[in-house]
Amino acid sequence: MFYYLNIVLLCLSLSLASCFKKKQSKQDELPLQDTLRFNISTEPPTLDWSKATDTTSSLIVDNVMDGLLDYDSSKGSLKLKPALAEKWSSTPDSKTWTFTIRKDVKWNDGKEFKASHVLDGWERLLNPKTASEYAYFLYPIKNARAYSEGKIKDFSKVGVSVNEQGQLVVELEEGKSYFPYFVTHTSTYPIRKDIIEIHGDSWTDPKNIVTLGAYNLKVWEHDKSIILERNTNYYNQAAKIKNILIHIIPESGTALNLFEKGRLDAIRDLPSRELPVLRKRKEYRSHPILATYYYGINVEQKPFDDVRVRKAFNMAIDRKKITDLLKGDQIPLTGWIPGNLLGYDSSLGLNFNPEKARELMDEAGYKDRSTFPRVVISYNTHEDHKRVAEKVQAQLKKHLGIQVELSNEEWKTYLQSLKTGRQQIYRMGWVADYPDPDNFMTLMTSYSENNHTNWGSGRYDALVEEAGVLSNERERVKLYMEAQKILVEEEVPVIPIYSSQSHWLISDRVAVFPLNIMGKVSFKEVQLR
Amino acid sequence: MKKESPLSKNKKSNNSLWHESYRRFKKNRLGVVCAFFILFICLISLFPETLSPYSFEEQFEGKELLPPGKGHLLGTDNLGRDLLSRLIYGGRISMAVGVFTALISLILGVAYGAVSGWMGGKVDAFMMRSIDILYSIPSLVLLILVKVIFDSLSIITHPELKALMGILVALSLVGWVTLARVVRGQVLQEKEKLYVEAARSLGDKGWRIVFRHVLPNILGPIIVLLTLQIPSNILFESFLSFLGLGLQPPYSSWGVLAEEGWKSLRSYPHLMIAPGVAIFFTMMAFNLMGDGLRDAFDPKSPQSG
Repeated sequence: MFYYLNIVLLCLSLSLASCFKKKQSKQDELPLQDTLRFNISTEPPTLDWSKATDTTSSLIVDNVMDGLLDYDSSKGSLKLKPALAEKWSSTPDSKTWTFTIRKDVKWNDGKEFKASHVLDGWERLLNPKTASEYAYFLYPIKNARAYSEGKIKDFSKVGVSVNEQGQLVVELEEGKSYFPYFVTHTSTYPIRKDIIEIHGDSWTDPKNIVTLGAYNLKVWEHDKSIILERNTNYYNQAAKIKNILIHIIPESGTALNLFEKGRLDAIRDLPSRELPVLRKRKEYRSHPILATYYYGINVEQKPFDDVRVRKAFNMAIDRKKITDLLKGDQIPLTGWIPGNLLGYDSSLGLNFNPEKARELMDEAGYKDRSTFPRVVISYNTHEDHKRVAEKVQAQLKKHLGIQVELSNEEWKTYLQSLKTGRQQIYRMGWVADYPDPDNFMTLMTSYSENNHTNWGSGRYDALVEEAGVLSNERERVKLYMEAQKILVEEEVPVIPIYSSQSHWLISDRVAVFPLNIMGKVSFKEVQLR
Repeated sequence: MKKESPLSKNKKSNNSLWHESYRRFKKNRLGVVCAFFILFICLISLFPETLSPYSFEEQFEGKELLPPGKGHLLGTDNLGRDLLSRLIYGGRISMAVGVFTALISLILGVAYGAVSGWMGGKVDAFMMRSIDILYSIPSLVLLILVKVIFDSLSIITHPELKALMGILVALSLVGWVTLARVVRGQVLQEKEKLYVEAARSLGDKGWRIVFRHVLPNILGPIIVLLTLQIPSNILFESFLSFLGLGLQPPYSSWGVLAEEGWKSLRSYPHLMIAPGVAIFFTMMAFNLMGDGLRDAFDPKSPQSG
């Protein structure tokens, strides 16, 4: 009899222990009426905005920092509005841009903000020592690429300077009408080099970091929570809510439970299996985002150095089945540029064609599939990424007769191991940094550090660069079509899967919560009832 | 009840130790039921295709997350795979992990412990300190290392075996240490006893004494440890899978199934309940059978239950 009792007690204590695991801490002292409770699914890999490449990191950075310009969410569109720069203008050929810097801006340590801080930020981003994956972002600027590649040692040769009136003058290699979008991005934000020099890598700790945005980073308990507090000296309209409590909750199911208990005010990344039920709720919101969900193929690894194998894999994946499984309004994507963006074309790319895929495998010398090398698909730990990966795994087995292995890692580690270049096929998503196809196309250039496929094509680079400077939309689209054909039909270093959709639950407590097509979250505009 | 005379027991040959134990075990109803239950699970694990209605990896499109019902007795998971089939094939892997790691630990642990305990002196000290070193390495670190090394080996090509191999080796490496310590302690205790001396005076040599006389006498604690180790290995495997170090899809074990089901407990509780129940009953069966066996081998211990 005692044995049963022991086992029952054990089960009980285990389940109780899991209930009480969450310790009480600082976060519970925040007054509810002035606090928005949000969650992110992973610890931000870094808050150093010269190095951050992912949406989690930039979510925090975006709210504690400002760029020269910002998106005007009140207009619902993607129009720009002044931020740290009060005015901007360009020469008619869009080659030289002048930003007039606001005078009344102060960092939260009391120091005045100057144009030179922007210069410092850009120098740091381009500096080869920083090894930022976003360095290529500024390559349109004159000599920026040469500086970043170490060919020029003198930063004053790079086409960015401060003139006598204290304005920031940017000289581009070629005219780019959408350049102002670049300076809305986290990687181009100004930095305080003096602070980084004092604290080194720990400058992003709450006690060291110096920012100037609508919120201050107050607490960062790693893998647990982040607390942002309103910056009372903010130069612009102050944030409506005083505290933002951001929990770090990897399980979307857990986040959902907390939302239901009223302990979170807004959640996104809803688990796909719960979507059919959640859709019917009044708190539910949904909108497309400019994002591509794709699998990258490392073209230097066997057997993917053979383009026929890459094509076969691409053709063996039935995207419609994947989006049907997820039931989240995603659009199956065979081209590279996602839906709702200039250059999107559903007819682009290789369609699902298992017979052709099998033929290609035979041609590549794998008629006997058992001789096919071991292949691993890696993805970052998340139940929906796993769901997609398992579907892809099953499709490859069914249509090609190949058993691939799956391997997952937590986001921060995953990004680290992508840099080592040992992966074969990796899952990735790309959310637009600015609403222009240029952002998606430059991502896959040979010099982009965000391109982990090791694939590079001079022809592709040239087409993308040429299209980037055209002002005629139709001609641009034409070039982008040509470039995309290289990417998804001829060379196939990537397997696009779908164009994404964002799903939210927003509680009744929240009166205003602007949703953004690029997945940005601006807490300063959120209002509670 | 007629009491056995102590004399008659001593007269019997070693062979009858097993006979006696078997007789005593048979009397323990609960133990026998559990033994049959385990036998049943083992049989299913050996021949899963006889009972499983579908393949464990076949995805029925458009039939995702069905509740238990006709066609799919236990429902389907989030990719439209039949849960009953996955449970059966998962049990095969769970049992394999549990039983094989326990067996490997048994062989390693008993050999090491017996040598160490029997030799004593400097050899014993050296062997035990090496175990201490192994003990001081956090088991998770060791597991990850072994797993990574084994996964990068490409000599094993059978996919299911390959998915399993890393875990098997890793768990066995960690598991035998405890067993070795217990065996050594027991051997130290037993070797001072009179029957050892008697055997020696009858002309038996060292190793013969260990295997013929000492080991059968310490079988009780070994079996108890073993029956506890099997379920704990099953649990450890699911823990590893949870960290992404264990089995990778499409293979599943009970632990993996439970872990996946737990995530969808809100809306699809059947995904959690089925593997949970399977783990629960198997663990209980092993524990109760272990108790029964201990009582059978060691009649001097207080009767339980």
